[in-house]
Amino acid sequence: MSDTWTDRLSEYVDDELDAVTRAELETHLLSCDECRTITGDLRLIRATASRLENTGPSGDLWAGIAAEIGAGSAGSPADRVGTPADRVGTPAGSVRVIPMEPRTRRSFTFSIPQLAAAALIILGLGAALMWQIERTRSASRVAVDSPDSGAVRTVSTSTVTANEAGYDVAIEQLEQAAELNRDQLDSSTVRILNESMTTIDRALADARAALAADPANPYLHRHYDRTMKQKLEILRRAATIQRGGA
Amino acid sequence: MTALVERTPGVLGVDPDAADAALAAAGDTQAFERLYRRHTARIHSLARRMIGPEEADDVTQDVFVRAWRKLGLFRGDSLFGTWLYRLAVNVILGRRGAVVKYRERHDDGDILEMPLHSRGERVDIRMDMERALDTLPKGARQVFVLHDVEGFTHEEIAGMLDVTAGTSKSQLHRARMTLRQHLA
Repeated sequence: MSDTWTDRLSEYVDDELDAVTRAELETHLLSCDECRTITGDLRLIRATASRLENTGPSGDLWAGIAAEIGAGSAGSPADRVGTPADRVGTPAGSVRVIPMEPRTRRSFTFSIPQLAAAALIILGLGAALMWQIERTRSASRVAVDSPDSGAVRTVSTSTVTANEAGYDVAIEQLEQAAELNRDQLDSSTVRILNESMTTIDRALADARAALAADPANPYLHRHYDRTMKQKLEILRRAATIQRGGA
Repeated sequence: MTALVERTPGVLGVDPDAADAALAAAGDTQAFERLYRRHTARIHSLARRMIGPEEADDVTQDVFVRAWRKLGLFRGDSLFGTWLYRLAVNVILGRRGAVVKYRERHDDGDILEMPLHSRGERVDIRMDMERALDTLPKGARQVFVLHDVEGFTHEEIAGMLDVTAGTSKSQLHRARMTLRQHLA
């Protein structure tokens, strides 16, 4: 185990030697029993290592993890991205945290045409909502300057980015902002907003379920993405309606 | 990282954890628990092999807590299992200055003497190897686990440990030769 080739044997079994060196070493192996034995052992060690079985901890570690992440006590992305105050850009204590309705998940099956029909419905509801919001905005520009709208001004939505990873954070921010603004909207706008959100949330839940069953389906990914963006756009409009079109 | 990909459950390109990862990112702790159940053995084994059984539980918990906090950063560009695994490697290597310890070990050229087991004691070579890993110096152990067990390349390992690929190769060979002695 002292010849000059010994230190190259791992590279040899890993097939990392250049052709010339490899040929020289193989020539050496023909005459060196010890190196041949070592080579065989190294191959066995490598093969054994690649077949080691994964075994879990002797006890269940979930309880400790659950305690850390707040499982069972409304742990949510909010816990991870900062306080509600951080997220809406207002001083701590001045933010009213608004409980939103839980997003329900359904387990029925549906087809791509059904998803397309849902998308059309969403588009229709979205257009109606946009029209209604624009109408309300025109009628309520005066309210923007009223002292009562101060709370609304503290809500910053301009920094919200709707990239894929940030959908949920963005939605939470906008939902809070929209909820703060809800009192400023007329009843018909609120009704359409609620209907739109219900339809979109249902469509999103369906899309999630479909993606779980068919994660590689590009149509489903595009559909989910489009629906999420529509939701963000509607929420953004609803959140900024009292900002005087700013 | 061929071995890592091969060991990842599911068909290549389809992430079986995608739905639960998305739900967990939205705050669903039950979905996150399902991810924990599916991946804890792999993460715990990695921790145990790389830094020893005494810290494996603690590290495993740490990895999953960090994963929960970072789920918003998971974009689905890779499989969730791969993402989690990378996170685990980073946590382990960052644990108590593991890289510094590696360098110290490497500079000293310190390979521990290990008791030889007779063939008669051997029940299973894999069990013997698991035990033998504990006796390797940390640096050699990390390289061996990352390369031979987990399938990282020397270039990837060099990047993780901030050493050269040549150093990684050298440490791997020393680890194998030491294990060979132990398993003889």
